[in-house]
Amino acid sequence: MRPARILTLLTRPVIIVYALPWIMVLLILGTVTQRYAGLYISEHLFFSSFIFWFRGVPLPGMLSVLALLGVSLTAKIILKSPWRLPMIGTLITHLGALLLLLGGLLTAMTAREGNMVLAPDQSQSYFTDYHARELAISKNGNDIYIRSLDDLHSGDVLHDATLPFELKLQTLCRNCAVTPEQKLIGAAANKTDEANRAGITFNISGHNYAALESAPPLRIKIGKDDYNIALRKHAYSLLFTVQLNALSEDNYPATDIAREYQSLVTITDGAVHWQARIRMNEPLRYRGYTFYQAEIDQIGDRRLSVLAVVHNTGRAFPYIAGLVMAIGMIVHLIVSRKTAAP
Amino acid sequence: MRYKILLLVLIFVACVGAALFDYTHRYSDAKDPDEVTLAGQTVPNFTFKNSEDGKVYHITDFKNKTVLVNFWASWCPPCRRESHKLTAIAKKHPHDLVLVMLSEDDTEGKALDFARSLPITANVYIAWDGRIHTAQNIFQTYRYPETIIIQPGGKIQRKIIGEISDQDVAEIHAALH
Amino acid sequence: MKKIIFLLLLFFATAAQAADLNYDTFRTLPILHDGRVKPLESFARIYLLEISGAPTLPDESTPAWLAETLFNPAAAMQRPIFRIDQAPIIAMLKLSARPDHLYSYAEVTQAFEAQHDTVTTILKKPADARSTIENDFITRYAAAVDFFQLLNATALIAPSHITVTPNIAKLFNLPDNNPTALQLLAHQTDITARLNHIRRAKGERIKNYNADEKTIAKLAFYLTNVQMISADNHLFRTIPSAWGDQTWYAPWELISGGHGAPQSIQLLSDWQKLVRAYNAQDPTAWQTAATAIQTDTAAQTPIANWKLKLETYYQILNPIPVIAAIYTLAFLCFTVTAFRKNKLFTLSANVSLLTAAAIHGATILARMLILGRPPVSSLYESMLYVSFIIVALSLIFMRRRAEFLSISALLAAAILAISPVYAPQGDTMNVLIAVLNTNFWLATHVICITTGYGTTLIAGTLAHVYLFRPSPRMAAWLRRITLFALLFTALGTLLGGVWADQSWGRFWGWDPKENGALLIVLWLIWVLHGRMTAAMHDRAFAAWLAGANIVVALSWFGVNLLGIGLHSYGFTNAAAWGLGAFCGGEIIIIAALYILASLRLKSQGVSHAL
Repeated sequence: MRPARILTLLTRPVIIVYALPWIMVLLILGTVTQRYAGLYISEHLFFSSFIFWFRGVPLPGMLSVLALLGVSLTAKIILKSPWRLPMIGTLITHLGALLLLLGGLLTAMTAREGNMVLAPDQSQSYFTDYHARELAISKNGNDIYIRSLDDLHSGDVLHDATLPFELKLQTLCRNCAVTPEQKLIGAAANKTDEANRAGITFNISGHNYAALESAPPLRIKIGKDDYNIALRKHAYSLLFTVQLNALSEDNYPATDIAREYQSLVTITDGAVHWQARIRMNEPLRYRGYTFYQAEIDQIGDRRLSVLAVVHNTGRAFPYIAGLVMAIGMIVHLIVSRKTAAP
Repeated sequence: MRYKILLLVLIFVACVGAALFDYTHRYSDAKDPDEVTLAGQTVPNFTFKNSEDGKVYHITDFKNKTVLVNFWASWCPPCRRESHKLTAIAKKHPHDLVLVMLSEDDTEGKALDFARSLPITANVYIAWDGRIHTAQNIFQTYRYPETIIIQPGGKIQRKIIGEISDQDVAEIHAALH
Repeated sequence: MKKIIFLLLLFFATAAQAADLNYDTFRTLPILHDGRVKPLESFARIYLLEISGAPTLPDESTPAWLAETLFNPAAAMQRPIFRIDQAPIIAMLKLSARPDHLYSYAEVTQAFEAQHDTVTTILKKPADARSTIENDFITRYAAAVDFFQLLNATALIAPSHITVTPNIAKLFNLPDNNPTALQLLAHQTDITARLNHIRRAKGERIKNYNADEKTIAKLAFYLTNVQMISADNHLFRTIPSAWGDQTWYAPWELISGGHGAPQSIQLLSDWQKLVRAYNAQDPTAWQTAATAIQTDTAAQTPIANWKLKLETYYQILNPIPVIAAIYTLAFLCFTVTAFRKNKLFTLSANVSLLTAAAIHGATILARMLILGRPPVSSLYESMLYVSFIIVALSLIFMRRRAEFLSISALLAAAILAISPVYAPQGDTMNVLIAVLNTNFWLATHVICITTGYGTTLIAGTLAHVYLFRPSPRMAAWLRRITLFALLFTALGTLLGGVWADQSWGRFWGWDPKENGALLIVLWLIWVLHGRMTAAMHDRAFAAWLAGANIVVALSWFGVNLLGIGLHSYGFTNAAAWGLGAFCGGEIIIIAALYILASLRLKSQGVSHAL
């Protein structure tokens, strides 16, 4: 088929007539699945996938449908839509929708989301991803070898110029449990993926070892060097340090209902120090990162401030797209009334 | 119809404007984590008879100094524990601070018996409140110990409920410098 | 607990029942409850609802009930108002079944006391491990505990009904012969010391004491008991703290927690006078004391008396059922005029609709004034608002078309009629939790999306009318209104994303409520595109548009049943069945209307789509 023909086919509105109901089906499936399997799995299956398999049949995931819609919309705007005054409102609205899709694409590809958990006076210059786990080997305190857990499979042999040994992976589990005999076994995934504890068992030079997330790292001494093998959530380094000075949880009088959460932090960026206040509904934005007050945790008698951190280049798109779509729809309402048939 | 749409848009803009106005004026009631709470009222005038010299004093006699009014009883262990901390504070600030210790014992004898064991300086006044009941009738204090901090000028700053802590002591010292 | 019943019966003797106390000021007195200051009327209704299943009693006004419970506990305990509906619970408590399901506190508390082990066993289990009947059992137990707290809320300032001998009165300088615990508290150490002395001298048997000594013994016993029954009583928070911590204290809590101050002496004394006035059934003293409390509390803390009065009237008038009834009347009148032109019915229809809309608008405005925030912050409040916006929009834009007004009246009446399901504890007007505590987003996103729900419902319902009576003009209206609905739902959903971005760092999180809103938007886009591209003819367009009602219902109410996500309120059987019935019914009705419309077209010999 010639490219022009394909493009023409892509501009046909029948695509929307079938794509939209399919998106609705995905939404319903994904929402109900959330109830039973949690958000992470539901997203993984339906919303962040190109294909999902149903009894051996491949069906389009959300990403495929959105991609199709994006291409179709672009083709339609360029090739088919009449750029004339009566249709100006519709055109602007469609443009807004396209912007939204593009922004979504940008966010999906580049956004980094995670959190920082700080105790008073604690400072940190990185934040950890919610989901991505990694295997990290460090030598004398410095990371020398890092692999994302998603890239690893059972049976892989890991070797590198920086490593004096070979690591033969045996088993991997997204969520592991420890048996009374101190063995690592796979467990059912938690509904909240953040609560899962990833683990691996592996073999180095004939000895079997295991590493578990949130457990003390495995120490191996070779010669004069200390090697630590740990499983952890992927950390993104910030270009600056955040220190928690104070946190407060303001409840409504005589109740446990929180009225407000806030943290007072100090940002240290090279020679620059400055204080900022982060509140629920009032985040801190600095150098492309945004810090939100997610919650305040209580562990024993210690209170911890949980700050959600996001770096999203596509952040402005939904705002712009929303504005454009709104303008488009209002314009269309006004214009179509003017040209309405009696 | 056009006008109606325009009207709608205007109303929407007005709402957003009002909301933005409110947004910039929000959180006036949320407090900073370290704000000091104040009762802010002038201390009501009351009298007491100092056990040392038998003279009757008014609280307003000490208007220009920081006054600690402490309610205690000899049968109350935290009261007994903190009495030395209080007299030590008084000793450290002989000219700026006055300590008035009102006893809620049921007899004057019991109050004086305990008072005799305390190392008091000239700015410490110990009185038996078992007859006049200043604690209950003027301060609504029924549990002991309680210490009320009154700033120079007579305004009540705050009340320490229960035994005075080391942090309270540090704060009182800090305020007097 | 048994001891306590005995104590109450002994010391709080029954006062004569009289109906001549004026409760107008009393019912507006402020109390801190659930995080905000509200009038006693609201407070009383919440607890009367919890205890007896309704916020009012047939034979007594709610504030009168509250006054009796607070100030004459002995009588209040005997009144059969504690409701137990479930037969298994009645059996567990070994109570006799009654046709009206009402028991007195005295009966109920004895029953719970006897089943103390059962209570402890159930309480030990985590909430989701309990069966439905166990949860209901604990709910009734909690109601009994609340009742207990109310009965003893004013124990500190209640007359002890102990006649004090003249010697003792003089010794302790007691102002009244019938002292309250508050008046005795200053002398507690002295009384205890004297009693010990008497015991050592004359032994334990009170018979051997003289009159003065008997008095001492009674006073000591009384003080100990008041202390025991008042411990942990935090319910009646009517004394604002003078120490700047923005909270209010219950009488015993104020004293025993050391929160007293010179400023609160007058207030507590005022309440004490109120209690005495009630016990003496003295209308003048009662009114004076109530007014004094009102004035003195306002002097202590910045509360707006007009807000308290407004909320009191709101509660007494209970406007929502009234509004729903008038909407129903309007709908019926409109329906009559659809079949037979009649000036009287037309007039009645319009007047009732306008009246209901005016009261409805005033109600929402009143809520905004009372709570100091935009009117939609919970599912219940969204129902009040959506029903209003439906009527308001139809009055503004579709005033001349009777069928449009009729539809809006029906929708509003239906939504308001269902709303009590989502306010099981009554209209409690709750405070905002931290994540919602932003007037800006409540005013923009929430208002926008709920307006979207309203306009979509109008569009969906009008689509039913179209299928019943098609016309080209109506088809044009449908397209316009759908576009309007799309504008509000799309904008509202986008604003929701913006709020989420501002609050939690992500624009879209596939939260069930977000997905539901998106579903509505997509549905509207789909039917509009279907129509505009002629993939659907008018009848099909109308049929699918009518289905928007189902989508809105699922998005608005269905997501809560899932019990997950940021917007969930949990699963209830009634809600699930109701929703299922509505969706099922709608599908059948729409299908039927579509088939009928198609058949009608065929019989009229029209071969092509309109």
